[in-house]
Amino acid sequence: MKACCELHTQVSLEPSTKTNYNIALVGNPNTGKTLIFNKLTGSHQKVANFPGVTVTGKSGHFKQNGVKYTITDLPGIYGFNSNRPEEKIALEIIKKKEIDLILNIIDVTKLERNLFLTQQLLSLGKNMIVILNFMDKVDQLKMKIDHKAMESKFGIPTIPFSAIKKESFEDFDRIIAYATKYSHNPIPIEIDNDGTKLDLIAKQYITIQDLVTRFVINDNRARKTSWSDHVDRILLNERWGFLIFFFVMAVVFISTFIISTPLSDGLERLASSLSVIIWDNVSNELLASFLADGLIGGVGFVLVFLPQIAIIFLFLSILEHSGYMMRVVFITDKFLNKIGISGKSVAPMLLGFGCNVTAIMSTSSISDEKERITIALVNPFLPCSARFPVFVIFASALFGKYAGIVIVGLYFTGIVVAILMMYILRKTKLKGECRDLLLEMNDLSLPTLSAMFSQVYLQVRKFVENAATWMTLGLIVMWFLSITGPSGYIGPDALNDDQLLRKSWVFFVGDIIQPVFSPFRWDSRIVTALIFGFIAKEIVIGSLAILYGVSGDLTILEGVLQEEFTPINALALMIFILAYTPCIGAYFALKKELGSKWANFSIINGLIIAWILAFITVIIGGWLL
Amino acid sequence: MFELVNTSENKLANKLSKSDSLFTLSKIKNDQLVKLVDVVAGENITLQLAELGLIGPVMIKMNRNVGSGPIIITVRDTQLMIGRNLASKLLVELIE
Repeated sequence: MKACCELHTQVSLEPSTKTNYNIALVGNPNTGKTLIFNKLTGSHQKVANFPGVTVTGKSGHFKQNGVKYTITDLPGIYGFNSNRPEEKIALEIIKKKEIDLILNIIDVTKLERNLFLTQQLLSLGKNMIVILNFMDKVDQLKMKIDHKAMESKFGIPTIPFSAIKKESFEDFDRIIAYATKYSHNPIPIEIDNDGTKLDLIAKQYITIQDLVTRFVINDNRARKTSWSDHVDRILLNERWGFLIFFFVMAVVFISTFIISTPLSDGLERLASSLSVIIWDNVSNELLASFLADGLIGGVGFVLVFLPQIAIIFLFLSILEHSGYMMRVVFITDKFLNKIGISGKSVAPMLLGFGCNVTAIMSTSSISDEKERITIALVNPFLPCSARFPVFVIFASALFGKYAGIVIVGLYFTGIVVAILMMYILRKTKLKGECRDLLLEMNDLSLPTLSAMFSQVYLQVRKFVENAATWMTLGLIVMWFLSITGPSGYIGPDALNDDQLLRKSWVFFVGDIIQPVFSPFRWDSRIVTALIFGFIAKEIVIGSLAILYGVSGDLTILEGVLQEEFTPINALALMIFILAYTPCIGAYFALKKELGSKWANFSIINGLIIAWILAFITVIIGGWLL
Repeated sequence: MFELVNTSENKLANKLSKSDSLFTLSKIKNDQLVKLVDVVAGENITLQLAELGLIGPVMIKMNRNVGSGPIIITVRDTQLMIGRNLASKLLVELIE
């Protein structure tokens, strides 16, 4: 409680006796808000290192002495003056919700700009404390911050802090609990607000400039050339920058493939052995089939690809947290401007390689409506991590040592289709001027392990949760549809007997739609698997594993695929999977962000483009072979 | 007969023609120090620039300008990336 006891601030005499408090974390982007939020609440929220990636408030809580403190981590903002979507959300939460305490996180190395937001928060007259983060960097610069002078000026507690140091968090929850209970009266900075909004901002900055000279002792703020600037000379080079970007992306996908293969093989052997144990020990044939074919053969088969998904997210997390994603904005802006898109949109696009749902949600930070719709609509064409295992299985089975090239080719196709779609949309229905690029650029840094693993953990948990819920449900329905048919119960033998399976609902449903896919020579099993693929793309593999009765054995599945497919119609299938709706989650994300009209358009557009691309593949393949 | 006039561009051209020491930010070379004189852009983006500290006679250092694509500057201890089109709407005066 040391910090609170030394406060030079006016505290309310009567402590609040509530048992439930709301606290808002407010600050500029990249001030360490989410890290503090995660430490306080024990959450693993994604820490973004790209302004605008976090656009909604996230809530968590901690308890102390039976009192619950709910903390909302607001998106990073610079003030409340412009119409940025994140500013509107933040202001709405601060003003409407009953906030008992505003926790204003400040980056002390950028004091002038951070205090601009602080003085706007002070004018709201709410109970507030200021956390001066990155004090470790101030020490390195041999500067001193007079935080007591700040306390006197603002009338609220001002606490020196280093979010990267463990000791900073000792007693931190108690300090916050104290500050919530005994409210402080902030002293707003008086500024004559005659004139326009811009006049007011100008006056505010002049006042802050003056305050900073009082708060900073031994001012040594001038930006020094760092190692990041030297590396930037190469990364941002007009000749090399683009090449390095392609090289980095190729390394990401090829390494994911190489690193994850042995891990997936291990899990696959485990699933396969479990199936054998079940068949050996469960005497009831129907129950054994349900467990071995339905659960392990289906869901277990999907979980085998967990390492690939975790590794892709790990790489994307490194790209974001190191600051490289901002460098990609710099090198792609000029090219993207030509197709009517700002370089800033590259962030949602790169996130799409991890998960399209997350990427579509992140487009809400794009203020230009038409550009936002364009970016969200083309995102499903960028292959997410869930499509990666589907590509891996088919490519490994049908293309052997050329599998890697085929997968890179598929990613390239997805990117080209997305770029062409963007160009067409921006020249027709969603025509408009390219929005201006304005972005704070942080130095390159080594990503912290906790930030990276939090992100990977979140995605892996989401994947496992999906696998455990609707994916399991989908695959159980698929299993049930394959052992029953219009004539009634067929039995688990259908999964090992083609003739029996032809009497099942799977073939009944597949047969109705199959003619549409006749140019590709996919049988009704594949067509039904594609229908179930609307739930999630991993289901395609799980479905095929069930329908071909491989009981979790990857080698058997690969053998079956080699018999059932030619390289050309397998490639057509992979391209179809690349282009049609990634998952039901992506549909709902589009519906939430853009409305039903555009979400429905996305499904129909995706299906048409997927069919056309698969058809072109078959035609070109036919000429070549 | 009416003539459509882009007022922002006209305003910018007028200011530039009146003084030899005024430039648009997009024309400033690497490592040069300049002072912000005016922003001739739409209201919303001008407010966003102002929030980030690009307001008033503030000092700007050019970190990277290769003649095409975005530029990178330092203002109020912060590095900002600005698109070329937007940079050409910021009027600055050379300090050295």
